[in-house]
This record gives sequence, C-alpha cells and structure tokens, in this order.
Amino acid sequence: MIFSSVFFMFVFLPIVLLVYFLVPKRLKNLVIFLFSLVFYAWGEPVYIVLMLFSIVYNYVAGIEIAYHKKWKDERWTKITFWMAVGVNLGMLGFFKYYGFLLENLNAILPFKIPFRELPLPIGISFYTFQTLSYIIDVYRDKVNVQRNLISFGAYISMFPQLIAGPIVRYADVEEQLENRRISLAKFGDGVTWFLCGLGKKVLLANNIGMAYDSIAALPAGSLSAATAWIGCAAYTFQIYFDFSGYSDMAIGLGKMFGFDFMRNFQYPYTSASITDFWRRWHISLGSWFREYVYIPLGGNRVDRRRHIRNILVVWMLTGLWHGAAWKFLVWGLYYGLLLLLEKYLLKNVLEHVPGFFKHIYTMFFVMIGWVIFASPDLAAGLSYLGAMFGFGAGLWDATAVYYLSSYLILFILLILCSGPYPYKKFCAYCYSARKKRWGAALVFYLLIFVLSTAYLVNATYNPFLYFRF
Amino acid sequence: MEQLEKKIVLVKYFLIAGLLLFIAGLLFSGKNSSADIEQVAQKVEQSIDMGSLSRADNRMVKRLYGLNANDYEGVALYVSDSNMKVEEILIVKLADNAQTEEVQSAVQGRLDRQLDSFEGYGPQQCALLEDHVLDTAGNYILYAVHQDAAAADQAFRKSL
Repeated sequence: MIFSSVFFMFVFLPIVLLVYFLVPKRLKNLVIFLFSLVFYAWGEPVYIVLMLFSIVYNYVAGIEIAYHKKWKDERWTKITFWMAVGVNLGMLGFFKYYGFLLENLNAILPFKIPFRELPLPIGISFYTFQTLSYIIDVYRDKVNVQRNLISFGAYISMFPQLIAGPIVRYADVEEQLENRRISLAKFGDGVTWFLCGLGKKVLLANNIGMAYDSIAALPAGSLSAATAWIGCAAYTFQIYFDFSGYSDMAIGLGKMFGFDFMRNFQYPYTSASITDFWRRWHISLGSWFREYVYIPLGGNRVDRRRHIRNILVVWMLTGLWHGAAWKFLVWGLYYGLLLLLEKYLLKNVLEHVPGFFKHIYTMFFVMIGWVIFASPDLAAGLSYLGAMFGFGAGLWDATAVYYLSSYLILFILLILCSGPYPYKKFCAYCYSARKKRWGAALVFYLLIFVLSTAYLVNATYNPFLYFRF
Repeated sequence: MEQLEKKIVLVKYFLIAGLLLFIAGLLFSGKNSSADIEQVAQKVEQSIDMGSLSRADNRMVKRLYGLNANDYEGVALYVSDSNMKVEEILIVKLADNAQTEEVQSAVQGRLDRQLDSFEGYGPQQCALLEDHVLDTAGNYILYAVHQDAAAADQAFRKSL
C-alpha cells in the first residue's frame, strides 16, 4: 500500500484516524502498532514475520544491554551489543545483498552456485537503520531502554515512515512515544504537509516521470545530446518530487498522529555545492551515517589520510544502502570523491565563484550522478552519458524538439517548485500578519486534493521510485 | 524484575533460531528463481511454433504495455508481424515482487484493448485472447496468447 493511492486515502487512513482519536491515550500506541502491521502485511504478508522478529529481538536486546550495564558487566554489555548489531546487519545484508554476492561469485568461479533469489522486504533498509539507532543509543546511554513492547513496536513499525522514511532515530521520538501533543492545529498542519507531498508526487513527479520513461526506453545510440539531457533533467525532477513528496506525506501523517519527524529535504536543487546538496537531500539518511559511522570512525578530527578513508567508507556504504548493484557502489564513491575534491581542492575556488555558476556546477554533477543511479546497470549508464555528450545520434534532433515543446511548461513549473520562492509567496499571501486569507489557502489545498484524486482515479501510471530501497 | 530480565534474554536465542528456520523455509520453498530471462525465453520459444512471432524491443514494451523495461530485471516480448494476428508472448522477470500487481494490470489493460479491437469481426482472435495464459511464478510473469499457450506455460514453469 502506498500513500498516494485511492485505497489508502479513502479507506485505510480514515479508519485509522477514526479509531486513533476514539480510543483513550493509553491505547493510541497500540492502535498505531496494529494498523501499521496491517499496512505492512498488505504488501508483504510473508515478510511481516521479519518485522515482528526485528521488533521483539531488538526490544529484548535493549533490555539485556541495560541489564548488563546496570551490573557494570562490560564484557557482556559489549557481547550483547555487538551481537545485536550483527543480527540486524546480518538480516539486512542477507535479504538485500545475498543474491548480488552469489551472482558475482558465480561470475568469477569456475562452477555455479545455484541459488534462489529472495524478494527484497519492503522498507527493510529503513526499519533496520531505526532499530540500529535504538540499540546503539541504548549502548551509548543516550536514550533509556524501552520496556513497553507496544511503544517499541509502534516506533519500529509506524506506517507513516515505514516504507520510505524519513529514518526516525529513536532519540528523536523517545519522549513523543509517551507524551505527544495532539491538537487540531497540529492535525491541520499535518494535512497541509500531506497534501503538498501528494501534489508533488502525483501531479509533478508522475507527469515528468512519463517523459523520462519514454526517453529511457529509446536505445542510447539513437539519442541526441539534447534528448538525453532532457531525459536526465526529467529524472532529476522526478526523483526529487517523488521522494520528497513521499517524505512530506510521511511527515504530515506523523503530525496528524501527534509526532514531529525531522525534515528530509531542504530544497536540494538550490544547493551551491555538492557538500551543500548532501546537507539538503535525504537529510535523515545523511545524519544517520554521520552519527553512527562517520563520527565513530573519527570524522574529520583525524589526519588527512584517515579522513579520506572515512569519507570513502561512508559514501561506499551510502551507495550500497540504496541497492545491491555495482552502479550504486560507483554512485556512492562518485559522491565521496566529489566531496573530497570540494574539501581539499575546490573549497577556496568555490568561495570566489558567483552563486549562479556554483549552482550550475552543482546541478551538472548531480545530474550526472542521477544517470548512474537510474540506469539499469553501469554499461547502460555509460552509454547514456555518452549520448549526453554527443556520442549518440548527434547534438539535436526532432525528438528533442518534441519533448521540449511538450514538457516546457511542466519543466518551468518544476524549476520554480524546486526552490522556496513559490511557497514563501503563498505563505506571505495567505498567512500574512496583517491579513489572513484562510479561504485562499483552503481553495489551494482542496485543488491539490481534487486534482490528485482525479489523476489517481484515472491514471494507471503511479510508480514510486524509493519503494525498492 | 531482575529475574524476569534474566529470563527474557533467553527469548532472544529462540528468536534467532526461529529467524534461521524462516530463512531456510524461504530458500527451500522455491518462490523466486535466479534463472536467466534469456534462457527462460529460449525454452518458451522452443516449446511452441513461433510462426509469425518475432522479438520486439523495449520501445514496443512501452507502447503496448506502458511498462518501462528498465524497471525490471528483464523483459522478453514477442509480437506477431501482422496487425491482424493477436499471438503475443510476454515474459517479465521482476526486480522486486512488489511489481507483480503493476505488470499484471498492464497485461490486463493490453488484453482488454485487444479484445475491444477484435470484438465483432475477429471471432478466432477473440477466442485466442480469451484462452490466454497469465501465469505468475514468484519473480517471473508469463503472458501468452497462442494456440499452444498451455505448452508455453509448461516450458516456462520448467525453466525456472
């Protein structure tokens, strides 16, 4: 089940909200937990077992770590902690990377190891990172152990952020699990977040996604440079509005239930450097890696050689987190190298370059990165990149004119919506201190809702890019 | 409470044993296949008379089914050389089992459009379309419109 579906919006969500607001406070976490399990089981009836295992195992491991800590038994504290980390990473590693590992082994071994590919459990990368944040923070005494299985289960399985994040660290919701402010104003705020996300996903991402899909279906050799760049730009916008739209919906749903999740995107395409881009893109993943991998490795408070190693390790892992494929590894290392380049070579240069050129520089490398990311494999990615630089079917052709003329207005809209300006203007108009225009705001959000619903009812095309991570 | 905490940790080991059993069950239940799609396609080709069927490219997959071939592990489509024939074979190896529904509904859409097109003047074609095979086996999906669709399905199942 995905948020941008008619069934979720008109059946599942209203029922959950109704039950949630009818039951007393002490039962609210139970309602979230049970409905989250239904939400997950809807698409993954088999893998609900894994989710339940993860909840109960980490709940028990947390209690055990706290128990050994209480008796100052360092040895067993460490054993229990590393075992919990190993089990969580082992589970993620097995379900996500075992097929990839065996495929590559089979490619180099003189004999073939037969294996059965297992489908990737939806959301496993997200909820495993959440359980790890809990176990690590209990071990580091940053949070108290959770002794209520229902509250812990609600945290891990919470359907708003279960499938595509944001990756909510336990420390950020520890207090909210017991005491959270539920109010009409916050609920309304949540609804506006949800509707903005829905509009981004359904009206913007899905429409530009159709342009990318049809260009990607053309053989790279037949693409002119202009068509290839248009396709690349289409994917660049699709992935941003798709993923950030889904994150906004998750944040909005969280608010409706009284939770405050961290913001996952901060206008990444307005960045003035690659370093800046990664402070604004998938913020919850970046901060997870910084907190639990980069800083424990020594961060930047080490000599240059070790700092370079730390950056490359973190970005190799970030790449692999996105999927078990060489292209993701290359994509991660590509960003690692770019960040090192900025840190050690370009820092002074970039400081003196006008903002416009910094923006062009950033978007150029981000778009190249998306080609590697979106292509079925590295070879296809290289062919596509070749087409972008004129090694396909020339520089310009009628196909490019067709796509440009068909999607020009949408591209302009996407460029505008990638920055904060339209939303700022909207807020200034509707919520200015001098005059509140609630009616205008209501009409705007109703329009998004009606248009998105109409689109969802009629369209068969409703992909979700981050579903597979 | 301390006694309880001591006992509760034992649960952990039972859970790990349970997880290992679950994984073993998944691996041996044979739900998904690692078979190469080209080999599966070859077995299906050999099982039936391919006659006027020839292999189509990804653009045709997009045009006829609205599916983006790059989203899947692999796609093999065979279409008839003539617009007046409805024989068609589609084999899709999913990248993720969550894609099952979208492929099935794309196939259903294609089938409905074909039935609309041939209704009224192509009773033989309509009969072939009605007798189609749409088979999902884990991460593989076969759609066959052919007089020997059942044989194609048998070969498809065997090749996984």
